[in-house]
Amino acid sequence: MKPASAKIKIADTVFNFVSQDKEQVRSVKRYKVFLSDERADIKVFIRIKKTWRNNPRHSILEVPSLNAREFSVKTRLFNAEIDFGKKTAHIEAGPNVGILNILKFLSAIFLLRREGFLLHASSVIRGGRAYTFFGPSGSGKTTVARLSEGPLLSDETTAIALSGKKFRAYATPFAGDFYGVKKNLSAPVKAIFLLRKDREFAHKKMSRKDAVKYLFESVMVPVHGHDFTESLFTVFERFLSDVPCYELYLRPEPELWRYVDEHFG
Amino acid sequence: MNISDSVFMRDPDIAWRKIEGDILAINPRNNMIYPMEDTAARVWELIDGVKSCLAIKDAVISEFDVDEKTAEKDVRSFIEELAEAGLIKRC
Repeated sequence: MKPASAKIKIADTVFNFVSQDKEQVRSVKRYKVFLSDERADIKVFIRIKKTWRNNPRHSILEVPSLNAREFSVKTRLFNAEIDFGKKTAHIEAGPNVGILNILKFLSAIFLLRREGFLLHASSVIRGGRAYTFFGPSGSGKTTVARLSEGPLLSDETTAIALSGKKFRAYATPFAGDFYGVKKNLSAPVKAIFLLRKDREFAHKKMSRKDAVKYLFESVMVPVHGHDFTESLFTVFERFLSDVPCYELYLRPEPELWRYVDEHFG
Repeated sequence: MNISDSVFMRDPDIAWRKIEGDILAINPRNNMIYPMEDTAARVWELIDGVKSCLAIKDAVISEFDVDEKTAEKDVRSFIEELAEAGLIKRC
């Protein structure tokens, strides 16, 4: 039987998902905004095992080096073997794996290899530049996205990566409560904001140390290992030398965008 | 515990950076973040697998405005905390 396939593009990387299990491929095709006709950067073979039992948490067989040509990893939901030379990823999982979990994992790894990261953050384009908002659940990421008139990159998870000499924010299909992503867009990051709910609008520039700390609290770490953490340190420091980071105190109402435009536009 | 003559080293698995004079250390095994400032940041730097805790205490006394008793107590409790968190280990 010929396997089914679908290509999806996230942050300039095209993943071609291939599987005998047509339901997995159908679930990739649900993310219409992100489907692509371009040449694939990596072929992802998904093998569904009906007898699959989830791995225990943090059951990584060996902590791979980020720049290794190939590595194998066990996450809780699936086993992955990635060969960067052959540009293939073999995923073995149970029927209920959820294609977004695989895609998130692969995206985080591929982003890190090109000085990028996947952040729990909403992002909006205004005036051709991306404004990125991060913080814990309930801090207002989705509210900021919902109240914006500009094109939305994500209400929940933004991909950020170096492109040329500038960091860009990219749309992702990893959505929260409010989806609203209409195009697979990206834009250079103008500023990044740690959200704080408050009665009054205010902002202050964050120290680089605090910004790195809070980025670590909000970044998606695909694999726990020294190499990965070191790479994140390096990319955060580079990112923060390019992009200003602020604490933004806000009330969740439309006026917030007037405040942002007035002070950062 | 008496750690005066003990020598500790930073666990090579721990990723850390000195940023704006302070230390940010991360344990990649559980992604726990450990910010360290002032004396704590300096003690972290001094834990090099060579200096004894006594030598670290003496360095703290010479570099900071602190009396010997306080320095001894603070250095000991901080080193014990770091060892308990798995950030450093006895050589």
